[in-house]
This record gives sequence, C-alpha cells and structure tokens, in this order.
Amino acid sequence: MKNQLRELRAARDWSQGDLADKLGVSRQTVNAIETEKYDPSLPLAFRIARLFKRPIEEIFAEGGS
Amino acid sequence: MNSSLSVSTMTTNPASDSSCGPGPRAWLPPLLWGLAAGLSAAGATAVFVLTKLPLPARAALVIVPVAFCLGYVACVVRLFRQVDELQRRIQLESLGFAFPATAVLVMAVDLLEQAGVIPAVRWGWSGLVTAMCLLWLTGWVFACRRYR
Repeated sequence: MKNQLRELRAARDWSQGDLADKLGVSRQTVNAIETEKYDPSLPLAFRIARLFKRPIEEIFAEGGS
Repeated sequence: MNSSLSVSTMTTNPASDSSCGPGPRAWLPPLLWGLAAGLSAAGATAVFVLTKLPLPARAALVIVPVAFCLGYVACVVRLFRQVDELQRRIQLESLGFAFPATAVLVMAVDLLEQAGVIPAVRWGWSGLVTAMCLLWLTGWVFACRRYR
C-alpha cells in the first residue's frame, strides 16, 4: 500500500522518533510504514489520519508493495 | 475533544522503544522467570539422581520448575500484549518459523538415527528448549531484517 507518511512527517519537521512517540508505536514501525514494508492496522491508520488531520484515503492508497 | 490532542498525548509504550523489538529491560522479567525455571529444573534433576526421596516428595519437587515455567509463559504473553503491532507481527513470524522448524529438526534427527547415519541423540528437555530458542532467535533476526 502506498502512503504519504514520509512527506507529511517531513512537512512538520518531525523525526521518525517524534512521530513514533505521538502515535505510541516504535520507530521501527514508523520506518516500516514509510518504506511500505508494513501496512498499519485500521486503528493505527485512523490515529495517523487524526494526527495529520487528513482523511485516511488521502494518506493511504492502494498499490505499491 | 481535539482529536490531534488526544493522539499527541498518547504515551509511548516503554516496551517498544528500541528500533527492533521490545527494549532490553522489557525482557528482564521473562528472562529471570526462565532462568529460575531452568535452574530449578536442573536442581530437581540433581536431587532425583543424587538422593532417594520418596515418590510423593519427588512429585512435589516437580511442581517448583513447572510453576516457574508458568510464570515465564505469563511474562512472555504479557510482554507480547504490550508491544506495538509491528513487533507483534515480527514475533508471530518468528514463532511461526520456530515452531515448524523445531518439528522438522526433531523429525530429521530421528530419521537419521533410525537410518543409522548418526548415533542416537538424547535430546532431553534442555536440548529441545535450546533448539526452540535458537530457532526463535533466528526467525526473529530474519523478521527484524525484513521490516528494517
């Protein structure tokens, strides 16, 4: 699944660790989502969407690895 | 309630701070329970070999390492519930590898014994547990590398 997480994070000048802290997950999880090696669960996707104040479908899209 | 506030004030799980898997401190309780289980089992084995305790006392002595083992299991399950979803996926993949791999290893060794290729191997519980742990660690390393 493709996602805009890295771009959204970079736009706020957050490190992966900062984002991981805000989401309550490990830095490795943020990295795995950004590199599209791991698709987050629906609850985590909702937390990401709420954090960036965007609809889920604007952050995540079908396709990719 | 402001949704971004509710997200940003979430606390980070202390068990999942490290870059790959729970932090070392999170593994201390299961490690100590496992160590206690192993040492008490070794102690019980020594008592069985070196002394001639009556059967009820021997049976009662078995309870000690089993109780430590149950504590170990409870600690590991609690730890897996604390870690985040990717770490849980990694553990699932590690155990999903270790469980069948142990079965394959035991089967292969048994067949080699029956074929007369290797001498009889007396696994014992410690050999089997060691093999399972090593295969779990192997699966863990590969799963961590996959999501790095």
